[in-house]
Formats: sequence, C-alpha cells, structure tokens
Amino acid sequence: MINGFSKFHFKGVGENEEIVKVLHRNWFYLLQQFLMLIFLAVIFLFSVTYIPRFFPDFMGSQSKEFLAFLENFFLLIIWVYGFLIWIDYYFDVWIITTERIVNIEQQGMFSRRVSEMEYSKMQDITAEVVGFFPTIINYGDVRVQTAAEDKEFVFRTISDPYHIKSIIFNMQKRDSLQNTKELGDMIKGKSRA
Amino acid sequence: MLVTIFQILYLVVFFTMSLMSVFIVFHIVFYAYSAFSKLTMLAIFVPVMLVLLFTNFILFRQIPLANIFSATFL
Repeated sequence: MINGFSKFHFKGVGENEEIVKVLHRNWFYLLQQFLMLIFLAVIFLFSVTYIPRFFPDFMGSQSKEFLAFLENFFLLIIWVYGFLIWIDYYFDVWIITTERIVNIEQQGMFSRRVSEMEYSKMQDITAEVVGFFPTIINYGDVRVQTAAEDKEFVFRTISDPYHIKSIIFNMQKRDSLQNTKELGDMIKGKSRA
Repeated sequence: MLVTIFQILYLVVFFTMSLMSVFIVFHIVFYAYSAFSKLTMLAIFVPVMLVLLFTNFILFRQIPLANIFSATFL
C-alpha cells in the first residue's frame, strides 16, 4: 500500500509503519459539486437550442457560427471546471498509519498543504455529522485537537466519521501502550546494566 | 477596432484555458497516487481538451466578426 504513495505527498514513512486507512471525501460531496455543473450545462444547452427558435432573427445569418462557437466554448469551460472539481476531490486525502495521521489538502490549483500529526500529540477527537443528507448518508467531519489550542486537524466530509474516530482512538491507544512498553524495557535494561 | 479588441480578448481567454489545462496535467502527473489512475486521468483529459481547444479556435476563426459587429452596432 505504501509503495503507491510517491515522495511528493508522503515523505519519511517509517520501517515498521503501515497504512491503516486512506480516506477521501464522501461521494455525495463530489455529486453536489457536479450537480451544479450539470445544472448549468442543461440551462445553457437549453438556451442555445431554444433562443434561435424563439428569436429567428437573432443576430441574422451569422448566428449559427456564433452559437456553435459559444456551445463549444461552454463545453470547454465545463470540461476544465469539471476536472478542477475532480482534482480538488481526488487530491484531498487523509491517511491513517500505525504511527501518525497525514492530511493532504488540495485547495484550488495553486495551494496544496501536507501536514501530519503523531498520536502522542493528540488530545481530543470529535466526530461531527450535521445536516439532513450527512445524517442519512453518514458522512461528516472528524476533528483532532492537539495540546496547542490553535492546531486542529480536520478530516472533512468523510464517510462514516464515527468509525474513523474509533480507529484513530484505537491507534492512539495502541501507540500509547507501545511507548509505555518501550519505556519500561528501557528502564529494565538500564537497571540491569 | 471592435473586432481587434474581441480577437485580443479571445486570445487571452484561450491562453488562460490552455494554461489551466497545463496545470491540471501537471497535478495529475506529479501528484497522482498510482500509475494506473495517472494514466487513466491523462487518457481522459488530454485528448478531449486538445480536441475542444482546437475546434474552439477553428470555430472562432469562422465567425464573421466584422459582419456581426456592423449588423449589431450600425
């Protein structure tokens, strides 16, 4: 699983580190974005089809060339905008590993943020499902708070946030036990020496 | 004069669209999570984008701008 992630977005994977879960936003978020695009496309295609019928003298004999150009231009905008939506969705990723959580957020074309947090620094984990569709489809945010009040890690509009919260909580518990065990071994080793 | 302004405006928009498609390709090439998804996205995006840009340019050249502006504003 780790091999699928290149050096560009996931640096310094530890030897014993394993990826537990890779999360994207819920599909409904993508659908919402695309619905807007489809709605605009339908309105435009409807107007391009019916304006010449209701207004036959619209722009005289040149209307055909101009409308063909407008149609094509609109398709171009839809294609580019559609892919921008897809890129924003596809490149927003949250990765839960055995040692930390990684947040990769794509914000438009020129902003990309990669941050990570170790389990030992986590203080509070909150799952939030707000609204009609999020409740029915079961998606929402998971917020992870650090000791520093201003730093917050947000898994946005992910599927099954309560389950994800419990995964993070279990990983944190496991990490804490492991650290305690390592510390115990270290103290034992020292006392023997 | 109006025709020239319209043509310049179109070239600016055309250049912006081309630049945006280059940025989209850049993101796909450098940040895709697997070779399969990278190739799939490129195979979908690039040919359609090239055809749309090419046909858009051809269609713009076919618009009789001088006639339209003379019919609309005179």
